[in-house]
Amino acid sequence: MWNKILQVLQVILNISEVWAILIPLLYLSVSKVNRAALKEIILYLWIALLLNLIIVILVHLPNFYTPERWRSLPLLLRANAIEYNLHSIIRVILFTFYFLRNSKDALQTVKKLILVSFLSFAAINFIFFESPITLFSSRLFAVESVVMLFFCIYYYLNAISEEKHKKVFQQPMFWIVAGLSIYEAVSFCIFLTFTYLIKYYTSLAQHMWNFHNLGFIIFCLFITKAFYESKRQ
Amino acid sequence: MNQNANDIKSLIIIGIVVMLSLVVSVLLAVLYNLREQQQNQLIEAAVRSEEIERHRIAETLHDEVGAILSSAKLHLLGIKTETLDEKDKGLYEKGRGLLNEVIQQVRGISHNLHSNILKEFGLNEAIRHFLLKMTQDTSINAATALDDSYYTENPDNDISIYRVVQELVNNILKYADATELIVSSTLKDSELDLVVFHNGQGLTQEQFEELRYQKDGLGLKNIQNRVILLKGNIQFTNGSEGYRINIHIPVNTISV
Repeated sequence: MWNKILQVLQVILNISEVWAILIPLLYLSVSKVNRAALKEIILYLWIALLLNLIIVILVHLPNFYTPERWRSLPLLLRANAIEYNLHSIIRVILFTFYFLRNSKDALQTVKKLILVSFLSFAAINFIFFESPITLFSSRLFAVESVVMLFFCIYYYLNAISEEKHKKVFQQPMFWIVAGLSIYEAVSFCIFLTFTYLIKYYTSLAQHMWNFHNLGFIIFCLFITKAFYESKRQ
Repeated sequence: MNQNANDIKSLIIIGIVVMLSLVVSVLLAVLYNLREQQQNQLIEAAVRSEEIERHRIAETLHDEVGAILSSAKLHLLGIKTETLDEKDKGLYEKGRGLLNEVIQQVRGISHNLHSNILKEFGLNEAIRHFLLKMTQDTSINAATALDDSYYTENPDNDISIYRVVQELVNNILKYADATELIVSSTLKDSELDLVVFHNGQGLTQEQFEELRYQKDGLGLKNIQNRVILLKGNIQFTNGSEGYRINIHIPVNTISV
């Protein structure tokens, strides 16, 4: 009985990268949220939903083919690494734009430089060192975590000195940054070691990915809270 | 292999916990700071509105009530007293005396609420004038030893410091039964140290901490709020000679 429950929970967790995104999107569809102020986040959610849907489909695709037919499929249909890698890049781009637009602080130029550096790093990494199609890039994701955490912590430190701090809990940005920082903090160590784990300890990698998924669920819940605060404003 | 996998799992979990703790600590530190700033803002708003109200009342008392009373006095002085009998003369003198007294009182209340001397001559002069006025008909030996190199660009700070001294001196005169009262100040490294000393019955630091939260807390809550606003601190101590209240305030000053 307990094993069955754990199996069901594992299946729910495995597809959480899809259903968790539906929570804020569903709230968005039924509420008058200030879409203009959150356009980068909304765009991220839609792209993330699409990419994660493809990832989940690709994970279960082998169930519909014989091994021989499976091997004859194009590489893009047999691996979901490119969707993951793309997801990371899209997340950095859109959240950097969000920070640039909503946080008028002294580091605007630095943030732009960081974005350009990240994209350059991704390009160089995938051209010379790793295949974006066949390999989940631990490097890319770990650097993404560092970049995002830097933006989040800088936002927190800036929030102390800004005039708007009077109603910080009512600001959508506070909730988005809180969710993003928790997600990136939880996922950083997993991202850093994932390629190694996949290669040598596959079942441990799958087990660790559950923590990432939990972090992602929390992230989506915080985005929903941000939408709620935006509606209140 | 299993042992290795368990070790790696433990390390990753420790890493997750450390990273999460870091983020949560930063978040909590920010929230604590914000809460403190919000509290300070509330105090600042309360003190500011109090000063605005004092100023308004002082102006009304001086410009309207004071003017009416002065006019009443002029009219009274216009009465020819030679034609009055003894009883009426007595009533006239009594009325004139009462009118003079109320004019003085209204002037005193108005100055207490909003000191023009503070505005025109600065903090030190205002404290000297206030102390003289409050102790001139009493048995208290009052003295000041104020650092004349003190000059501030921020008049709001001066008002708050003046109010703190006012409140403390009023309390001493009312409750301490002191015969000696000295207000002194020292300016050093952009920090003003104000000391109010008396040889009566005063408060210890513990009593101050306790009383400032009470409803009839001797205006101590007001003193505490103003000291917080000035980003300073206040210390009540007692020695063999008497009680001392040290107020330490960082100031933006220009030395004269």
